[in-house]
Amino acid sequence: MKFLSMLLNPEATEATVEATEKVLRDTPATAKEALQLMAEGWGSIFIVIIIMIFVIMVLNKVFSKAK
Amino acid sequence: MEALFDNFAYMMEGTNWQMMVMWLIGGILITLAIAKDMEPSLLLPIGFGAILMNLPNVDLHIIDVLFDIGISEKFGELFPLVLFIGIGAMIDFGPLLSNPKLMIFGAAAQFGIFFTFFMASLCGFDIKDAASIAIIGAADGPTSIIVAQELGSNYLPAIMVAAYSYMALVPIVQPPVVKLLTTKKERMIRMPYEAKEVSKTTRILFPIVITIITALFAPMAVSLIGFLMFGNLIRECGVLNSLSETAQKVLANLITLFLGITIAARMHYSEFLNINTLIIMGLGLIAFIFDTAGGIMIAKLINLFLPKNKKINPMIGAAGISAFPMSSRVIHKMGLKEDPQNFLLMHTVGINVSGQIASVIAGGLIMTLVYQFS
Repeated sequence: MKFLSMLLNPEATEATVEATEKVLRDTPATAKEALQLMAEGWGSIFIVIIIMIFVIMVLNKVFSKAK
Repeated sequence: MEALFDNFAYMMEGTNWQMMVMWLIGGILITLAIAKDMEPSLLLPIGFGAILMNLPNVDLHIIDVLFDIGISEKFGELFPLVLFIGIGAMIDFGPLLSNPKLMIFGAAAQFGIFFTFFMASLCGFDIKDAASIAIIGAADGPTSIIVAQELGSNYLPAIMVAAYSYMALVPIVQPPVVKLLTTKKERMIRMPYEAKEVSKTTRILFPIVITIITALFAPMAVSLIGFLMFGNLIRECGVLNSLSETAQKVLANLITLFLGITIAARMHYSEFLNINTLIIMGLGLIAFIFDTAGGIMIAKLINLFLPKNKKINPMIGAAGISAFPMSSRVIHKMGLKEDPQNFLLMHTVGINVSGQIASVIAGGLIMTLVYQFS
């Protein structure tokens, strides 16, 4: 959907990009924020890795047959 | 002769105790590199650079130039990225490709990065510094450099020294953690290795596919993953053997040579000698410990769902830390010590290389996730 909106309305997308160019806060993260990042970060790696595992299994299946 | 004495007097005037401490630190790093063979390719140049940068009244503009060219954002962090081409060319992903499910332990063993972010935040480090310190747990020099530079951390030298020191200390750091978290019975679980052939096409497509997936989900890691996978593609394509050899040997050695001494550009006592450096060394150790723990605990969790005769030896989870190939050998040796017939190396190598990929993705993710706290 985002890709489609970028194609149809590039100016709005640019404005969104500018708005999202944020500056990091120079204070420590609170315990809650740090725990949130911990959960999101570690969880996200698992998701990306699981996708990679799946893709590699597909590659192995397809190209072992082709041999 | 007078000029000689004048120079000497001038140098002595400019010397202070902080410089001497840095000479001592440099000496310790050099000793560890030579006498203990601990990551000598990096600790020796860093150690020497620490001495060089803390000589009184000496202008070493060339090191600042090398830093600007090779490490700073100005030229896109040239050294770590080009080094990754060499590292990618060195890695054989075959054991991983023959059993891709092992990648899950590569993901699990990045827990220490995020836990250390939590701990660094509690210690009062601001978000950019906490994230940069946390990435010590990636156990990967180039990733640590890139994240620290991109986020603008003030502690790059301490982070580098911590990252490379603990990578070299993996044989000392990991075994106690493994023994604490596993029982003897678990450490003796045998895992026979069934070699499965991986087609050349899969080996060639793997680096391309991994780069694309990373771009889709962790775009800030694309530069690192892209260069790593480019190196691997050069290795696997089979038609660029001389380039592959150059990348593995000449290129990797050349960049490593410059990288170590260039890190020293930020090792002036005014930047390095403070209590935060000690805290960062402590947090780096926490990162490595919890990386090891994360991998092991996920293996134990998976074991709860596996039948008795298909259990995983939970030690192999610890090999997911990105310290390649040291961690895979350490865990393999621990397995042999418990049972001389238990050969875990092919499993641990597969997991170790998956840790390389996962650590880079973790770096990209942390660079993205911290911006939600703007």
